[in-house]
Amino acid sequence: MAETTIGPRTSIEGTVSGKDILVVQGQIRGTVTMDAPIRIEREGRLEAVVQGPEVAIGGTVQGHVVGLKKVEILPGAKMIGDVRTPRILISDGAVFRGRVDMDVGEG
Amino acid sequence: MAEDQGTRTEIGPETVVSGDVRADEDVVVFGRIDGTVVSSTAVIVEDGGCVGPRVEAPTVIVAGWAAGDVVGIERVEITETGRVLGNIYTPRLILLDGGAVKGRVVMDGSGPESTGATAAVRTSAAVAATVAGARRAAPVAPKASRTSVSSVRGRTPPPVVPVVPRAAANPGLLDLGDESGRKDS
Repeated sequence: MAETTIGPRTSIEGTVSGKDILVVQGQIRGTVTMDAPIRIEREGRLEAVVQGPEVAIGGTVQGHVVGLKKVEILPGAKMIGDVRTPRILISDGAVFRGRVDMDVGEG
Repeated sequence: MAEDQGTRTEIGPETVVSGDVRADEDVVVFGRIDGTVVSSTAVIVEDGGCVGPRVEAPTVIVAGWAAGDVVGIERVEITETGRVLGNIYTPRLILLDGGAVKGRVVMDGSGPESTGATAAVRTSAAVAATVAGARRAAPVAPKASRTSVSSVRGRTPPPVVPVVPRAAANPGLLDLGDESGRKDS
């Protein structure tokens, strides 16, 4: 599977979608919808609605995150907003403010 | 120009960006960007990649599709597989055998409604532009590129994203898709 990388000196306003793995080191404002894992690295900053099968947050995210399988909030991450996913991991050292909804598809 | 830290943005073959991309690093497009792409270093549209309606950078290399304005503040290079459907504004243009352009080429320093970035560099870049300079210009892919234009040429185009720019929906204009008549260089 190919990879899309948003470099640390890049900012995007709009929508990013597709089937590639997405690595975010820069900034995205808008919507991110991928059919492959999304990784937001330490310097990455998102103001966005983010959806992917697995979302790993190591940077700063303000918005909504939907992880169809899993969401991981890593040490050093700052997550402000709501998370919807059946599985969530929050590491020691992560900052999280928002709601968690784990009722995805489980009646 | 940003100091080269080896960083870059790479849009994968199965990724679509709708909106504007601004970068202080190279932007390499294997997939598709519907919107404006501005880089302070280089934009490289790889074979199979597609951008438009506007690309602007000191160096723009098109090995895929570009629809709309292509602004190369220093130079524009269109490779054997490159197609530009739109206008090219640059002081130095390298167009390789097989590359296709449908649109105006403007090399006198006038541009589209110019942005600050183009205006600032245009004068000096225009002065530097000579025929000799254009000959000298090696078809460099910026060193940051892990996969250069040439290295990508051999691979099968990804089963992407329909790589048909909006502007290309006008088939009467130029049949850029017909490879049969082309000579190998």
